[in-house]
Amino acid sequence: MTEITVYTAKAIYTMEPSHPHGTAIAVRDGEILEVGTLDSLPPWLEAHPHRIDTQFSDKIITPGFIDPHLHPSMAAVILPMQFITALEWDLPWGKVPATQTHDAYLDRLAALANTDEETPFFTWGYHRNWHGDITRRGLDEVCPTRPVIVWHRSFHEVIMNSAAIEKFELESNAIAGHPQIKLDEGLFYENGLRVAINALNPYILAPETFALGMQRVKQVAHFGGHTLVGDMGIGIFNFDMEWQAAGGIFDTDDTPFRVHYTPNVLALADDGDFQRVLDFVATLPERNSDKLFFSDHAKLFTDGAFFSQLMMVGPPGYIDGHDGEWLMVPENFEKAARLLWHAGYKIHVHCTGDLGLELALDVLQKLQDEKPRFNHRFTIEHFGLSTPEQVERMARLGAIASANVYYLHELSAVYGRTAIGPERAKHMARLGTLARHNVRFALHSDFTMAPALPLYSAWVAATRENTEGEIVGDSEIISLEHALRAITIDAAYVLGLENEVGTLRAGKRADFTILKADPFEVGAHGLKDIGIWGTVFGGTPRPIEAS
Amino acid sequence: MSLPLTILGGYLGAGKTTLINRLLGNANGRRLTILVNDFGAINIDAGLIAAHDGDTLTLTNGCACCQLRDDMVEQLNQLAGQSDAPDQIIVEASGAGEPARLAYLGYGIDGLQLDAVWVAADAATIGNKVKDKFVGKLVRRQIEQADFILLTKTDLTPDDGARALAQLHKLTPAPIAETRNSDIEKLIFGVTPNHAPRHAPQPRVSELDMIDADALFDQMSFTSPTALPLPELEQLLRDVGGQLARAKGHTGTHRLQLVGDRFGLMAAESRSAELVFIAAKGACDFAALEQRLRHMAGRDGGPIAQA
Repeated sequence: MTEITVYTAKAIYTMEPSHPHGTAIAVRDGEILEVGTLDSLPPWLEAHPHRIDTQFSDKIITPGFIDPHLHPSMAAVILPMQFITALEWDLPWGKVPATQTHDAYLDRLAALANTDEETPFFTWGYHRNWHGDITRRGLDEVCPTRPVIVWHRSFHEVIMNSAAIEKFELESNAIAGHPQIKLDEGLFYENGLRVAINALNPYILAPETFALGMQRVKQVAHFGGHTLVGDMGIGIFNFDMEWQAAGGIFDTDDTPFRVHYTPNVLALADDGDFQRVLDFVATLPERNSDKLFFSDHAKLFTDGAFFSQLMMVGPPGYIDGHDGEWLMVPENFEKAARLLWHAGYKIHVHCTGDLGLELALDVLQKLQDEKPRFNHRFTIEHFGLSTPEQVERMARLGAIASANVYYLHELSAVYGRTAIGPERAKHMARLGTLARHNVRFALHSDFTMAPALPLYSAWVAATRENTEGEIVGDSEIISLEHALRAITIDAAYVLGLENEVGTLRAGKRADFTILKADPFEVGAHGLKDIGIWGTVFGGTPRPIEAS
Repeated sequence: MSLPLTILGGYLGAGKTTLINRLLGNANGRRLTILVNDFGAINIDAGLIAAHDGDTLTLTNGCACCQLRDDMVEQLNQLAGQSDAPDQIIVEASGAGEPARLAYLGYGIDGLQLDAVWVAADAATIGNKVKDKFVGKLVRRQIEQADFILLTKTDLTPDDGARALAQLHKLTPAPIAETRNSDIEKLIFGVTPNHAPRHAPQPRVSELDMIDADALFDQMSFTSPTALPLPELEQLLRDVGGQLARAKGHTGTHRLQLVGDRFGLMAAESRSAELVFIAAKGACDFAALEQRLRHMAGRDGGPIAQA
């Protein structure tokens, strides 16, 4: 029998209400035997060979962090690009400094792009609210020879310099005449972006670039302190390619986390045949390995992207009168949800605006009337805009939430001014209302929509501080302890894995996150600055430096 | 040589697939390629099918029907570039989407020219759909973006679609064709300008023998051996754009494509000018339009006193 390892720590926070603290934890074969103190462990230690590992004696042990919703494949496309961002991004290979003005943006771009390299220079993170108008001419001035491709933070726009337009052969009358391409400004957006992506695809989806991106995703996930992440929608580009890349890069011994996969039913049903997809989805668990696994979850969508102001907003709508978009129209959403509901699936619905949420709840009501289910884990993903009445309906219908609280941090000020007005903007991510209605919720990053740093998300949830330093919607603040639950046990609950992970308790997996400071000592305001030493994954220490 | 791209939009259940099945079966020698959202729903008489290869159906009458792919731009590029390109491409817009957005795709592709946006509306349900709490705005936008409306399923209404027709007229000035009794094939397969006469001593106007099963439209063609001056033509098009359903052809130096009130002019080889204008019956004063065009062409061709 394998030797028992006992890790001692300054404090162990189990997140188990009935047994919340300890200073020693015994593990064997990747499983927790006992949490307690060196004085309480002898029943195990006297019966079996063991060793005491004190390397964490000045550190804090929490359950391994869980991000139940990110997109490795999308992140793998973005991560090979150079980040130039308005806000600071803390990445494993270095901090990306905040670049907040037009001139600073161009200076930074010039410094990074003007090297001897001739390969196209791709950058992500440009945002008009901070960086003003970046145009082909502006790029040409600072970078005349190397092809430069500037990808907007929302991923919905691309700007290129003349060298890039020439390299990708985009200078033509037909393209100049496209209403959603401004060739003299080098700007490609909406359907015009599709023209650009078509030309750029050989670069951004080249196998070696994608593999590099996946390697970086692996570093990023470890860097945030995760021991489990959810790919909330495999199939977003191409199911086989994504699964193959995951197998090659994540399903290896050096990967210090597991990945739970939820298939993207909308993307898989590109021909509208949901029954065929359901039959396919039912076979997916046969592919499971120790690290990569499917269970009984499926992903659907109602409305469009929050970062692109494509969420469906109920009355009184957007200030400028534009409208969001449905990713699945009501008839299709209901059809797919019904099939999955009757087949017993746990349904995750991407809902960003309050009208999107309304559709999800209307359909959930119908499905409950048809076939009542308990413990069904119908999950509202993102949970951008909502009303208090909708939260009460969620509670009554048994829905839960997985929230991107980072929206509130980055977008509440600018959306208050320009999109929906301050009243609704300050109530993005109504976590306090969820808490008061006892609706369970997780926090997620939807990486790269938000940094994959659970402590950062928890900080936003427990302080509601936005980019301008204002506290927005203080009645929606949640407690520090609740915020930590949302990145551990409640995140496990959203993925249906609460029996295995999420708390530290005899019988659960020995997955921990090792912190350099005590969250309950630094308090809510200090959460984002807590250093992460690394993790213990399946009982084995995984320092961040070694990833 | 430009290949017309026609967009067929309309909300779910509006009857798009039925229309597509009908067009494929009644192409009358025209080689259509239709890109559809839901390939599985296409239902063609087995006797008409020449080959079924994955998500492409080739018919014995020269038409084809394919699943619309995610990389639609590349798909359209390939179609426009192939040596045996079809006579016309029809793209079925998603019921969830705005057909005008899809229409913009046609602009970025060499050899392809946006022809018109058709939007189908179900006479039995359109009244409720335009008020629906989730999709009302979307359905109204789809209708507003149409150059032409196809009113379907009037037989399922107690009043032969009269109420739906009245509702649609409130939402759009676009011509509305009722599909059961109209020769929609002729409408959708579009207008082909007469060839320019061999000798055209001066600008002239001629009626074309064209569409018009239901006498929905007026049309006029205009030819001139001299090129039309661009700034003035643009001003003219801005002035009358709202009255025209569409216009297309060659200005002498540019290709013109006008649908509703938007138009594009793309530099092209020099040749004689040849334009076709179509408007809903009575919507545009073609006599006045012709006069302005003639004046413009004459001025460009020779010295005419400034007006």
